[in-house]
Amino acid sequence: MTAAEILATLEKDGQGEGLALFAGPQDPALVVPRERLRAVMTHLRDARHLAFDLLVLVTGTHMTEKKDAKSQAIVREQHFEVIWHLRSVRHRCVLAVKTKLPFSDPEVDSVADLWPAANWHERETFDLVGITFRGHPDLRRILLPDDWVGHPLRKDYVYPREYRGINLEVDAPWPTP
Amino acid sequence: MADSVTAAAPLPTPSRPADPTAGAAPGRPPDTFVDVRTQELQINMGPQHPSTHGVLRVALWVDGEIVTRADPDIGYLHRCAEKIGENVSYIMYVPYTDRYDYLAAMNNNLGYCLAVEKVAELEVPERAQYIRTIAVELNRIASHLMAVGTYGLDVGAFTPFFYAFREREEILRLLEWICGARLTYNFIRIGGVMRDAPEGWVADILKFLDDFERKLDEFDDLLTHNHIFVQRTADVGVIPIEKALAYGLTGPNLRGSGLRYDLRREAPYLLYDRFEFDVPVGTGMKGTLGDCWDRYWVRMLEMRESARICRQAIAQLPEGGEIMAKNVRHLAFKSKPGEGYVGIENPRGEFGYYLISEGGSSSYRSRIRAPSFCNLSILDAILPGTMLGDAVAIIGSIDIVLGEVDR
Repeated sequence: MTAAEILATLEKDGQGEGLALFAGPQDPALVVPRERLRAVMTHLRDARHLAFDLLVLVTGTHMTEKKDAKSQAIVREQHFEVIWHLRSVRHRCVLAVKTKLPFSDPEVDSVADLWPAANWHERETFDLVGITFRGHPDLRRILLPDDWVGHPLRKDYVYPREYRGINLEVDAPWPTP
Repeated sequence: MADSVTAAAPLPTPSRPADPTAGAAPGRPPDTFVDVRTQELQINMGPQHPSTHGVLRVALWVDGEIVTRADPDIGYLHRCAEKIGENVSYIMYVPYTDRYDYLAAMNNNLGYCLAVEKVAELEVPERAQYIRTIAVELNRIASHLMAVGTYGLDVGAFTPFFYAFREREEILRLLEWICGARLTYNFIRIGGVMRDAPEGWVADILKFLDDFERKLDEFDDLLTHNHIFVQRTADVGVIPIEKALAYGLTGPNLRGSGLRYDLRREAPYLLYDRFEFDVPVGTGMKGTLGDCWDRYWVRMLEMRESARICRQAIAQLPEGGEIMAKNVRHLAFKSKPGEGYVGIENPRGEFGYYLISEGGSSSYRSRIRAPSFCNLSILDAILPGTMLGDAVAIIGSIDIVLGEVDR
């Protein structure tokens, strides 16, 4: 099943409201508005003819503002994207589900209760990109220390100069004994 | 930190009752006390522990010998490989992929290169694809040998480890011959492979494979059907199929639970649709379906299948021909804009690479799906209720590589 076929199936099932297709040159994706995310994800998992039972990956991306080179008009607002990759073991296919979040309010519903696999992926996305997952059972940093400041995978991240008394500047002199 | 140490209250001195008979039950010897309250104890496993295979810390709460709660603490090896992917050029990033799963570096190279080739729309020549297949399958055998060898160590069998390492050494020699490195190969490049197979390499692989299958039988005698080993692993750490899927387990861990799911079969990449091979699954032969022994046994069977694929790839290997796609200017490599996900079957499960490119010489977003990271997340669901001694057997049977968990 391709993303277009899955979109048609969802429309037939009465779940198609607000859905769209992201037609990239390689992998098409299903674009879901964030209010409808839980309903669509639950349907994708539970409907027998879809049966997406394996959550593969959760990705958060910071998309920066993009301007047209000539006219200087803004062609893309600054925003966040969250992409879920799902696999259906029964139907042998993979599907990317995409949601756009405004930059000022990066919050989206958690799917950790639908797929427990999402638990750590969402914690990692929270840790490194700074997207909050509403309803996550235990949302705290997973890879970085709890008192780390900032989210490194944001494009505007500033590398800290010091952490707990450790000098992190690249050209810092070696401490003399 | 230092302040809190000096400010801490002095340790209370243990007080003994002056009268040894105080608190003794009537009619019993004086040193028997009825008041045996137990309390939940938190113990720390790792980060420096031989059976965590790296720097993994698991906080365990135990009630006597029974684990009641487990909280894996990861991130000790975190290098933010995804950020590095945004900062260096595509070709410079290949060596970094070696460092996620350093026991299966060929597979990581392959997953990354396939993703870049998908987005950049490159056509890889056939001979390069065969050489890739041979290298990747040899690497899978080496990785599984490490997994089963150290698993024997974890549960107390020392000797099989040396047998596994003897065979692994032979594979490392073959891989070193073709690319000059023993662990971090940097061999599979965007558009093809680094160099063609040297003369005599293929013949040496065949010689090794002939020997290897006999050695596997030896290994079975030593460890697989060893009564102590079976007692230690059968019926331990059972993962039912539904739970394995829900927690995103892939690879031998998922197949050990009985689901025949292998990306080489389900979504063939490279030339896997041209080879005949079986996908072994756990059957609960020694105990319950999905126990530690099943996961171990799947790895043992997979090594034989990898050897089979290697033989077929060698038989089909075309004589001569290009090993690099046309028009790849490596130092000035630029990708087309686009995004794509590629998932391949690593020795530890599905290794995925999701790439967003906006054109230019480096990626806009690199996202790595590390199989060990997902496999490890099931730990806090299966450890509670097991014996403390089995925790080591369960963590070992999941076969994690911490370089990949933390990235």
